[in-house]
Amino acid sequence: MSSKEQKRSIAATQGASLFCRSATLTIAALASLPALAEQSAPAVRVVKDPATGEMRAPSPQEAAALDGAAATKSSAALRRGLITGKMNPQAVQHANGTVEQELDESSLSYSVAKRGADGAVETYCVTGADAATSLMKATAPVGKSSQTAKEHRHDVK
Amino acid sequence: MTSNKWSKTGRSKSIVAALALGGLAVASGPAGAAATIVINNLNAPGVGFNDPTPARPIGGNSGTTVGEQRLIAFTYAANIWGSTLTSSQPIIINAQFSALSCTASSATLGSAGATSIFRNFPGAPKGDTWYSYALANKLAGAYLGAANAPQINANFNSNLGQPDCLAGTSFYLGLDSNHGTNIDFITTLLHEIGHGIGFQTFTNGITGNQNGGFPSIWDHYLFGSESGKLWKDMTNTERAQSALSGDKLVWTGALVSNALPSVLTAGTPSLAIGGPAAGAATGNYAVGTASFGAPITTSVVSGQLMPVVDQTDGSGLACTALSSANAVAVKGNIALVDRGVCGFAVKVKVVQDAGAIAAVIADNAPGSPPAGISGTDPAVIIPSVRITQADGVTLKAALKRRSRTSSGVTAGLSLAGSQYQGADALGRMKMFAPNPFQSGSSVSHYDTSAFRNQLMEPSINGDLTQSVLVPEDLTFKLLQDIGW
Repeated sequence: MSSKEQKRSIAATQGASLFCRSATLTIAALASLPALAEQSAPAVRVVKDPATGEMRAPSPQEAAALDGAAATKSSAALRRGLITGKMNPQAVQHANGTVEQELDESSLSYSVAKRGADGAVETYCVTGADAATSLMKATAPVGKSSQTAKEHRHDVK
Repeated sequence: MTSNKWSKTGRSKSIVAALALGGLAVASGPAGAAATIVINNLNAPGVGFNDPTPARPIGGNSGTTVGEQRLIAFTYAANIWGSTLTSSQPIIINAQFSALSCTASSATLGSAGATSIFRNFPGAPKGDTWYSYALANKLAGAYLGAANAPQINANFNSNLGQPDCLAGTSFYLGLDSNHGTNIDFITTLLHEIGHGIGFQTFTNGITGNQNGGFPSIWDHYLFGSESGKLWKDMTNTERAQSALSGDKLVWTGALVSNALPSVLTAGTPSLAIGGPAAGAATGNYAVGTASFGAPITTSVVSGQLMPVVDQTDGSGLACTALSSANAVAVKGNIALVDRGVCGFAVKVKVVQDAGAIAAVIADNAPGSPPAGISGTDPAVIIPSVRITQADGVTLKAALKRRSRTSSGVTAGLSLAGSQYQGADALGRMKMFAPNPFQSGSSVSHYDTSAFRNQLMEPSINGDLTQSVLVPEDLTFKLLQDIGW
């Protein structure tokens, strides 16, 4: 093997190693997703084949497992403190009697936009990522409004 | 004013913007009002607020990259609050743009909210009561909690408008509200920061549970007109029921109540039926109003009520140009048509083209009260309303003995009574309390019946201004009620 070929080989090996490390990091990162899952969804997903040791795209079952892990972390992330990042932050009493309760993502307001049948886009405000996700997936009207003349439904026909 | 500084890593940039940004007009709040808003840019170089993609200046936003425009727009909206609020303490907002949930037809635009709540701090007007972080700092006259902790987190969608993210609909980053069919970023941010500085209760609206067993300051003003109790005095069960009570959850803060007559429109849109042939159909009918065409005003639009009949079952869909007989019937009159098959705006345009002066659309499914009707057509200039299916049957019965051009049944569309749209009969602002509970939308918003449309309704209407002040808006009045 020529020195150039050796260099290419070393570079390729290093590249593969880096790729392996980054792929492993991807898996590890999925297992420890902080805060919003929406913010840290990986662009590339790979798994290490247990038989060959090589990196490849995940099978549907493996992808579902990764989704489940992410979803579990996403739901758990709702209870992560917005300042400290601590899970399920408890109220803190200060010396002068002040009591502080750090909030988590379940209290955040989310603006959601949906395109209706006529192409017009409507926006809604809900609390919590779960409510936002449910609203995005909803195909039926979002629910009756209060009993007032200007209903919250957005029927166009 | 807002403030701006780079951290050592360059990764987080806090922004202080001058009160007047590049000579642009900034909404002025009450005399002497000022609060320093610090925007911490959490984005890494090259993304979000630091996106280097070239962009054309738009609507008064002079930024020449996407990142610059986002930052300018964010700062502009923050300035509106900064020039409205008064506090000796800075209001720190951790802000970023990142990839949030999307589909081709829907998107999470962004999230924002308070990071912490405080009670029993020195200077708290009400003991054992939760206040949002920024408000607590103001009332305490001191920086509570950890030094430099943010009061608000804000995160907006950096992918909006891409093919897999509400394709074709982007944030309008101009500063002039000229958003067209795009989403106005300024009003979206004004709304979300509004929640962050205190436009919400921290009591759970589904269970009625108070946070840690203590009321929020909101609970001293939320009132259930059915039970006659303030939220702070209710049981958990009573609060949960109150959150579903329709028009029976109201705000009792004096500043909102005193201001709402100068903001909201008096009178309820109504259809009045009379005339020699009306018979048992005589009376006033509830209507749902349209998001297009002429609004219903105190000036009555009246005429003969004449039905369109273009189906073999006797109904009238008005989805295509009217026959000559139908055109003769509705010309100069108020057309009665049926819901179904085509959009509401289509039907109204069809009857308008035939010379009708207004349209009444009878629902094709049971339910009451009648919902509003949505749609878009700038060419529609006549008013239109929806009535219930049952009311449609009543009116059609009265129209059976009509001639080709007259029915003897007169219809009048106008605002009736003196109740303000969005307030109850005693002049108290209604809060959004639909049944079933709409998670997050319920309670912590003004009711959707409010007109003129308010910033803090659960849906961000396209006709909102950038004002949080009377006479356009009642957001700041509520915040003043709770201590701002």
